[in-house]
Amino acid sequence: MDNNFTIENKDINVAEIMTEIRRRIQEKEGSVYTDEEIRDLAEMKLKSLVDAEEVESDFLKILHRSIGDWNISQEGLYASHTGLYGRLIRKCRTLLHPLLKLFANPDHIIHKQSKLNLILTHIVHNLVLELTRLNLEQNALRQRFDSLSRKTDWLEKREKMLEEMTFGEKAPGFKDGGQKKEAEGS
Amino acid sequence: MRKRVALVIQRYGEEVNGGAELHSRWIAEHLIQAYEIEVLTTRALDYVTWANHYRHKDEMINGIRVRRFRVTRRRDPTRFGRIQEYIFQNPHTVKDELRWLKEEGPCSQALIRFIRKRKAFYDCFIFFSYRYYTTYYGLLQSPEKSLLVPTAEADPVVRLQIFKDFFHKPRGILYNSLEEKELIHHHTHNSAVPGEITGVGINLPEERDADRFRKKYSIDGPFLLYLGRIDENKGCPGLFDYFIRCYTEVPDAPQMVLIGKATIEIPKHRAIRHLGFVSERDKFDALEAAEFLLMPSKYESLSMVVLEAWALGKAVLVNGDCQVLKGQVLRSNGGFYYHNYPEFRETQSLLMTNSNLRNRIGRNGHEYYLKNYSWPVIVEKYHRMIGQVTGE
Repeated sequence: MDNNFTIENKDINVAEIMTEIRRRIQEKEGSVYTDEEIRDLAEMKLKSLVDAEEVESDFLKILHRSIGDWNISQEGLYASHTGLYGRLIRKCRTLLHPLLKLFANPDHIIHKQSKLNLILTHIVHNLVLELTRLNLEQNALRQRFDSLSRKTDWLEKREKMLEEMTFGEKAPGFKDGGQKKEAEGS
Repeated sequence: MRKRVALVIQRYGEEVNGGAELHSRWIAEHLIQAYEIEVLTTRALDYVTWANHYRHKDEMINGIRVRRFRVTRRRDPTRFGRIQEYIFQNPHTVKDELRWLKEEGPCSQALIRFIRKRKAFYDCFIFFSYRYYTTYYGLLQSPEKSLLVPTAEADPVVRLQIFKDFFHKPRGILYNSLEEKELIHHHTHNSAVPGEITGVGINLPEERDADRFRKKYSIDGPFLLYLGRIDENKGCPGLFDYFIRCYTEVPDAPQMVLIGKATIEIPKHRAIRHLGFVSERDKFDALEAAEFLLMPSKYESLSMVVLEAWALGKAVLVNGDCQVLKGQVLRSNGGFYYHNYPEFRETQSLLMTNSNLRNRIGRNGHEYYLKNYSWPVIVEKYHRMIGQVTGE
């Protein structure tokens, strides 16, 4: 970071300077995403996950709409195909609904299952978001690890070069025999 | 007739190290002109075992009568550590917490008995450090006459059940900082108890000499200063790690000077100098010579060294994970804070390379210190709180 911080007015505001410092760190590190970017990335990830599971592509669109007709509902319970015959069947089923409720209440089960479906969708979405975050963090760490490895290699080379400059040709001999000679001498 | 005020603290003496203990001694020495001050304390010097160290029951220290009481139970650090770990990490009962308090100590039945029997003699008691046996049981003997200086940190102790009621007992509470007040309100809902943010002032030596320090310890060039106990709780391992990384990455990075007793191993590095425990004069000389002060601790209720730095017009770089330090820095504009290594690197680099900014930040800290923590301000706040208890 270049430290040509120019403080324009007389009053110093540490909070503002800290915000500026953080902004510069983000620029410098180059791997920090905004929340919006992370959301976009998570959606991409969700697509690929859903594709990988070979779910119908239409289903994904519906899922993105959140409140689509993908979920089960009471209205869909008596649905039938279109056309006159289909409408007739639906009407009959609706008329017989009180009779059905006499033996069992499917409305209650449908309502509960529909709620559970919504919750599960929400959880899956959050998990994918978190997974994306972790992936990004892992990439940043991997980059850092690579950079440190390169630095270590460079330092090792530098150390060898300095040893050679200091001890010349005797450097390896010093390691092998020098200590032994010292020990013998003492 | 002057009002009789008793200060109750777990240890007391010029040789006692510890923030709260020094805090209480300075308060006592500044209140002596207005009140008849007595200090009620134990005979312990070592805070690890609370072993009885002082032989005499009574003594005078800087014009203040100090009554010392025998500690009846020495602390076993291993047993204490085990119990503490258990109650911090497991569901437990109030009985378990009282057992923890007994282990925490210092257990001095004689001191508690004395307060119970002689409470009519004193007009006001001021208890320091809520977490100790002497404060907990001592304050319960005469809550209507008691003020509390909690010196609370954001650690698990403040969440213990036994302290939820306890913080409702005193007549008034003297907090060290706004963050400490909020922390205690949050955990104990005691906002009905009158409170004042007071803290403590700084006793500055009359003359300070940066060159004298540099010559005495053979230190050339700019340096950053860490003052205080060098241990894990103070965040020193993290500081060493950040400093060494920074030293390799930033060209012309300054060296670091450490002053204080070390309880952990200090890395051997050519840019780190450890001077051990030094005199007060040397300490202030070092502050005068330093570029700025480092404070890596996460758990502080005030940090007297930060106030010392500000008293001398020095900027500070503190750990942003400590809400108290971060809050102080933001309110004063007297320093920077960091949450991670990049922030540490950039803030320290900025402070080092921009002397104009560094000096102005130091001046901000100084103004904040004068406005909030200079002795006349502190003493006035104590007068107000004691007045509430004594009815004056």
